[in-house]
Amino acid sequence: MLPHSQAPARRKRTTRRSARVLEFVMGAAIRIGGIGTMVSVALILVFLVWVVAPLFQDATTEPRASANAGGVKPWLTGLDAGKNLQWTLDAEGRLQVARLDDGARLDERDLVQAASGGSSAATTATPPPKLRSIALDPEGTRFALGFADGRVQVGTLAFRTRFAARSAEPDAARALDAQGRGIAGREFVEALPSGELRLTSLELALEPAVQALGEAGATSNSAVAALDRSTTSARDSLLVLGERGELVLLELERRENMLTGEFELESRRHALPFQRGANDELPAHVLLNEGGDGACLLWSDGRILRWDLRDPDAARIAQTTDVTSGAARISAVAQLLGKTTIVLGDTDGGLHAWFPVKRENASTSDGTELVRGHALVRSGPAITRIASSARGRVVAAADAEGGITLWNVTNERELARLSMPGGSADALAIAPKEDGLFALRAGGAAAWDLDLRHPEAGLAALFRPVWYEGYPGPEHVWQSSSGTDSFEPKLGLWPLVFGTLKATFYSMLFAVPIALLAALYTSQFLSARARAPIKAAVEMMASLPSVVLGFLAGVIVAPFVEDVVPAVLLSFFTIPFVLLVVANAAQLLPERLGRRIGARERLVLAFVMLVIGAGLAWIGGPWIERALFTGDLRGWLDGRDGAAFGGWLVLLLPASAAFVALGWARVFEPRVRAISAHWTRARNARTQSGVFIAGALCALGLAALVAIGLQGIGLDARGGVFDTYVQRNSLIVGAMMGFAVIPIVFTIADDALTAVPPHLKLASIGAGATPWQTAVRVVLPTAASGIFSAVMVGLGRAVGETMIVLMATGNTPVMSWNVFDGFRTLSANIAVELPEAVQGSTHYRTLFLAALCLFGLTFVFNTLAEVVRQRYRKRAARL
Amino acid sequence: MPTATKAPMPPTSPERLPPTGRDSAPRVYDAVARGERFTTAMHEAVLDERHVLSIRDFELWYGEKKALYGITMPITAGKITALIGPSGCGKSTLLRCVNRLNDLVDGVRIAGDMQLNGDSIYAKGVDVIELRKRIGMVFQKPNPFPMSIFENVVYSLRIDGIREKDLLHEVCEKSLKGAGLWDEVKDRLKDSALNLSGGQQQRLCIARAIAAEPEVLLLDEPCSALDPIATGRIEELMNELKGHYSILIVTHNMQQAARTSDYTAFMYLGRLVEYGPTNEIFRVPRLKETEDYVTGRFG
Repeated sequence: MLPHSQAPARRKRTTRRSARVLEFVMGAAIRIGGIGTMVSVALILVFLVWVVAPLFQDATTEPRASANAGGVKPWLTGLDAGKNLQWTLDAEGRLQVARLDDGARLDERDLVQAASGGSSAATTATPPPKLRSIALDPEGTRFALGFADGRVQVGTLAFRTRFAARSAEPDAARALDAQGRGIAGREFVEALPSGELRLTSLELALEPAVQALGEAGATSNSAVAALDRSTTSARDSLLVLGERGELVLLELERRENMLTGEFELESRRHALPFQRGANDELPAHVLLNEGGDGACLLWSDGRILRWDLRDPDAARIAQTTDVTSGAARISAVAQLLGKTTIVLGDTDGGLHAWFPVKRENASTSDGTELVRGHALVRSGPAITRIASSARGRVVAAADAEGGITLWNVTNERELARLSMPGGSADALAIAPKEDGLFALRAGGAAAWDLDLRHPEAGLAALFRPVWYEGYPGPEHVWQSSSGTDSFEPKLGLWPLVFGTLKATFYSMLFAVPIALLAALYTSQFLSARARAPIKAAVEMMASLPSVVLGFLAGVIVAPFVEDVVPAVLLSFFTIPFVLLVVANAAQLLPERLGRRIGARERLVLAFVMLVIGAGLAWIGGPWIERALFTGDLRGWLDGRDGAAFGGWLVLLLPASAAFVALGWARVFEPRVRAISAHWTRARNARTQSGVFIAGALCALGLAALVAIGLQGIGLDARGGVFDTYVQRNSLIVGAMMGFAVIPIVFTIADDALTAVPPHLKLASIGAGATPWQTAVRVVLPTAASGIFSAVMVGLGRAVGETMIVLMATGNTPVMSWNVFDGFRTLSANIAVELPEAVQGSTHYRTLFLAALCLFGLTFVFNTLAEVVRQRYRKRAARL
Repeated sequence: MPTATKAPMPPTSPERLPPTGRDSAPRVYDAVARGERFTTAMHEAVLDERHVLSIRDFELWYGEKKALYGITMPITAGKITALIGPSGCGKSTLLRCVNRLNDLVDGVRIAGDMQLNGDSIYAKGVDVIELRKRIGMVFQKPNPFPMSIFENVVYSLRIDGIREKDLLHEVCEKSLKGAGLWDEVKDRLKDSALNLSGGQQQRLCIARAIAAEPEVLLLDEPCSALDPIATGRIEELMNELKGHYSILIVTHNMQQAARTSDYTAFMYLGRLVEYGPTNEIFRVPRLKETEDYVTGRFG
């Protein structure tokens, strides 16, 4: 102990109060900051999961009070958007509107009477012709009626809602019961919390009947056995099947009469050349597609006759097929929204969705085939009724045992399984908002509140190939929205994940070699004084906003490169080649002269070589294009013309050069070394140069040979890494994103390389290693952990990069490794689509799922990086 | 490569030595402080040997600062020569000048020359890479490369592109045996060199250096980071290597210099003060300053 410590302290030895306070405050602040950061990251994750979770939640159902108004055997039924009212049509043509919960009737119409009343030919003496068939579109509003006298009639059926103040509608206000509901005349009244009244009624609009079969007024007209209606903005198309086998396409067009201002219904009849076997039964169903240019006749035994109606006067049968197996008979039919997909239920309980697809080798006359895209149920109780949704791809199928199953057709997801008490349903309807289901039977009714959540989502729909309507097979597709309501959303996330990986791959391919070589150069071959400004400059590059890079890439670089693709490709070969040539040539210089070339001269020389290499590529590009790619590289890439040889040569040349170099080093070099050990330096240099030239020729020859071989056995590089050139492509993005990634990788790698203990470098240099040998054999392995994290941080940047890929890729969500094709990344997709996604919709949540995927992707990369880095670090710690 | 010849030495006559003696006052330091030239007290014994390395009028500047002043020093072949002196006297700098490691430091200028077996080290047009292959060096801190023991030892062969397995193994075994490490590591040549203890690592570094069969081996305070037992082991090793290898060692440890070396050079503030057989330097130094330093009265 020191002597003065025993003396009384002259100086106060207490820590100052302010220091203690500061210690406490800063300690607390740091803790709050640290924990806060962790908590907020966790909260972001929790929020993402919270938004995404409903995509995977099951539907919920809740029984709802309902009653069969009048106890009739229903033919068709429907609900209003508020699930307060039901309409029911029976076989007699009576349309009833009633409350859903107690069956209290609001309105009743007789469609047969209405049709006859509208027809001048009808008299009160003869009973009106019977209603024989009806077609209702998937939206549940446009219908067509077919009568026994060969007439058809189109009309619309829709619930109208209006709002009124209580004072304006005293009758309606009086009709309200304790729950604030009631019936006033033909309207259903509801009291709103705001004090207003909401009045809902069914509005029925009927066009005049049109004679589809036979002549007006004739008594021998064939009855309408089946019909279907499809509506476009221009006209209505009706396909009418007469009970004697006549098939007529009727086009109805509303024209305004210029003189009277009235609308007139103009009709055109096209008789289709349908011939039926003598003993053949009549087709049970007639199905028209949305545009009215294709149709199917469907027999109960499962036969289908598909018609090509693109030219109604030259209609022809495109395909004949059978949709059932064995003895099963079709027992229920429905078309999905868009009238392209047909859902068929059979007596064996099978529930299948069929749609036409275009195929290369289709055996049909119009190149499309009707295929069974989805098999929802293979066997079970016979299906009796199918109802499709008015807004999505949901169907409800009732079976003979009273079960009702809800399916989303696209992803074959079973949403709910319900049971109708007392037997099977005669009529089935999904509420317009997909939030309710109504099943009706002669003696009863059942209704459910549904919460389907996100029927088109689910793990399988998002991450597995799905067979979308019109596609030749199950595929990964992202196409979240389109112009029409009947569009089938395609929410396959793989194209986006793939795009992200592709962007990352190509940008890393470009950035990593350049950044690491640059870091090696500055850290190992430059003096500390020269290094500082270079590092500062590169770090400044990192602060360049990526939107600027994206802008440059999309608007300047992409159009420029498009013009000089061959030169750009060639420069990948000429620049290294020129550098190698000069390196060899430098060896040929007399020893004394050669040693004069210092570091600065080498740098200047390298720049000159770069320029010369680029110039050679510029000059040689068109020549190569003529020689290998028939003078039009882009045409060649399209696969229109030219042989596969050129593409293979370009692809194989690097590999063949590496192979030749490796072969030389492994096999021949030791022998040559043994011979040349006592040669003069100049002689060695000459040998080296000769070997280089021979090696280059060998590499070229080998590549050409293999290319010829590959071409000979009929393989083509096109369709894989090389394919159709798109202006905004992976090559451009790789290069431009490289510019965003290079500074980060460079900075971290440079720090890591500089941090290698100098005594290791000295040991290597002291042993007579060249600076390059030292860098590669000692410095790089020692700095491996830092280099690795540099690459991983760069990878993280590339994965999350948004603006450059948004602006320079064309954003096509395709899955191909083609260098000359674009892609769409998760991040760009979120940026593009989130602003237009409806909050809470499936699309919105799927975009959040994309964000979660991105989160997961970076998490995986970072974890991997950390694990590997820790392993290297343990080793480095012992140095 | 020319055969080793006895390098001609610069004229150093006893008459030009400053008037010093073991009982005289330390005037050398005063002379150095005044910036006067003085001549090394060179014992004639060192001049009579065969020299592997000769340093002639060697001067060195770090930027504006002069670090070495007119060093003239022959290094005897097959013997151990120790460089001693207080911190900052330029021992390590001089050592690193032998294989031109000081080239790597910014702003270093030199004057004079060194010759390795008659070949100039600093002449224009000397291939530094080739030169360094002829000189082995072991550093203060054990610095094995982060690779296997085997790869560490054969590093100098690897960089020359030698791939013949037999030759590599032969050299590895010979060098490890030479460095007295073979028995300890022969079963784990593939293990990382970083798993060895500090003393083993240093002997590995010596094995790595002698694998290249250097004409001169430079040891820069090889034991300063080691415990006494490991130090003793290294010293034994140096004695075993003596004869086969010419060793130039920088050490702070007087006992080590006295125990191991054949010749000792005492440096002070960039000057070579006294240079002679170790026995004489430690027992009968010509200069009072040397005596003070080796006996611990100064330093």
